[in-house]
Amino acid sequence: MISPVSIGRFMKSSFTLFLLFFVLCPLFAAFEVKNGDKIAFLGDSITYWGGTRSPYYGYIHLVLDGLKRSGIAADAVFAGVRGHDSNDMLARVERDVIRKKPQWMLLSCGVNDVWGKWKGRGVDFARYKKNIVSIVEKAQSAGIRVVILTASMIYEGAGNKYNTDLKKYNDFLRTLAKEKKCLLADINCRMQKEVAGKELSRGKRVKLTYDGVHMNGRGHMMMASVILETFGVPAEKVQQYRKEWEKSHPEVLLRISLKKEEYHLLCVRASEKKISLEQYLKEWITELK
Amino acid sequence: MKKTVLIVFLAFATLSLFAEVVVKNGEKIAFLGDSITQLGKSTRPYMGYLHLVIDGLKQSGVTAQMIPAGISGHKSNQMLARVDKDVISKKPQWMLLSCGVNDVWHGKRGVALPDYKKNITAIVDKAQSAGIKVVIMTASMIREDAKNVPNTTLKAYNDFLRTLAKEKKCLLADINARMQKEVYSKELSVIKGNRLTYDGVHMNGRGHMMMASVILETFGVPAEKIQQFRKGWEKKYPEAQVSLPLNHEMNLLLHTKAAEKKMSIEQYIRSVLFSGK
Repeated sequence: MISPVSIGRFMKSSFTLFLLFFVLCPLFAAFEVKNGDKIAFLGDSITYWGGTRSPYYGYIHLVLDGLKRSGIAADAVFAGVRGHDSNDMLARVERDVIRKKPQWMLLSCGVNDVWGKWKGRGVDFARYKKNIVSIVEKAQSAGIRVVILTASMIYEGAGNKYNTDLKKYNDFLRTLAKEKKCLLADINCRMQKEVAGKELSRGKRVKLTYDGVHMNGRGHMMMASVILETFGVPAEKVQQYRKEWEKSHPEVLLRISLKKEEYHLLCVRASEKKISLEQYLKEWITELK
Repeated sequence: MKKTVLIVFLAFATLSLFAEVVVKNGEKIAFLGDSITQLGKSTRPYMGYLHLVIDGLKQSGVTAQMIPAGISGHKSNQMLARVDKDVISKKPQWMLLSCGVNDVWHGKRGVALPDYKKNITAIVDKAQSAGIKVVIMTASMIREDAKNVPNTTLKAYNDFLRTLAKEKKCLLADINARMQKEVYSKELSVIKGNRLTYDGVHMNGRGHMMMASVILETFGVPAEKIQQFRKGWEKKYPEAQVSLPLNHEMNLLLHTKAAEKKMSIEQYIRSVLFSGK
């Protein structure tokens, strides 16, 4: 640990240098992604939803937005298919990724391999390792740079049976990233940290998913933040982007069940204002401030 | 004049008292169908039509049991393949058949009318020869616009069902006719989007109530009684869901305000939304 005193001394003696460094650092940060690069996102339902903009603004769009704000125009290749595990992804990496000739492949795989085991499917650990290694090797030998994402939590309780089983899958991914010289975006690690946060409600955990597995708006922002940092966007910049995303994109969708009387009342109010019910509720929420 | 009124009134009163509900105490009713029927057995977010039918019978003094047999995405060929296992082997007294939406909606992957006719006839024959009484339901609308292509195609399928019901002496629950009536009713004209479904095809709370009403009428429960049940359901169960997108700031603000009042965020929103403003 650096003590406050030593920081003070350091700052005093080299304040100008420090300031200069801070100002120039984001400018000269070595971005891994170059202008015009194509980035393929291979994954499961989480990645599928990452490619949509409604109801939540998906992480793929946020990554592209973050790169754009950093001065890099990149394109996405959407390759997330709902329900897919490592067997499925190995079977289609050629068609869905390599054939599209991207410079980058982000691989997000593991949730269904583990979760599926409790649903009569799933992929055991030995097979998973083989599948992932082949996916990475196939991409690399086609000249594609690979970023490995650790698999996100399965239900937001770190100690449950799914997450306990998932741990060795993710540990393997971390080791493999080193071995194969891939960049690593440790989604799981960050997710655990954020889930334990208590920003929103007294004592209650912060929610990053809407159903325990699939990301809500906040979850997508968390994923995009980790990926941008992995690409070399400075953390302070990413923080700044995130603040802007938080203003413009929904974090959660609150579903409210309405009985006939309530529902029709709202419809009448909206039609009096000559707007849709959705628009009415949006305006109503803003007025609450 | 007074006398006549009295007689008419008495006749009316006795009629509804003795109106014959065809389902008897202790009978089992199988509901063979697709996703609409599968969702008909759930209770959230909407109270499904299977539960409402059982409830309406109960309020009419008949205790019946449901055998849910709805599977999402299923067409007539798939229902034919599983009618033995999912319905006949369970020995119900009644089978309600709701089939046709996917046969039409899936287009090229659907089931063409000649095959549909064969499949449906075979399903009805199988059930009837096992001594099961069959109620044929017409298929509900595919998106709430009577003039669109799936609905115009569906018309021939439903016309066949109406003819078949007569031929095979089945009761007919004409869901589609009632749905068209309700979708275009004056009462619902204030609702801009979907009125009986949440996505154009799958029923919302009101859609399930509509289906249950038609079925109960088919079973011989008097219309006035059903109106009364329906009013009760409308007070108890939700008709629709709305979703409020909240950005970080609003989410934080509402959480704080709700916590101050010791309410859940939904309770809080409801309290402000309906505070007579």
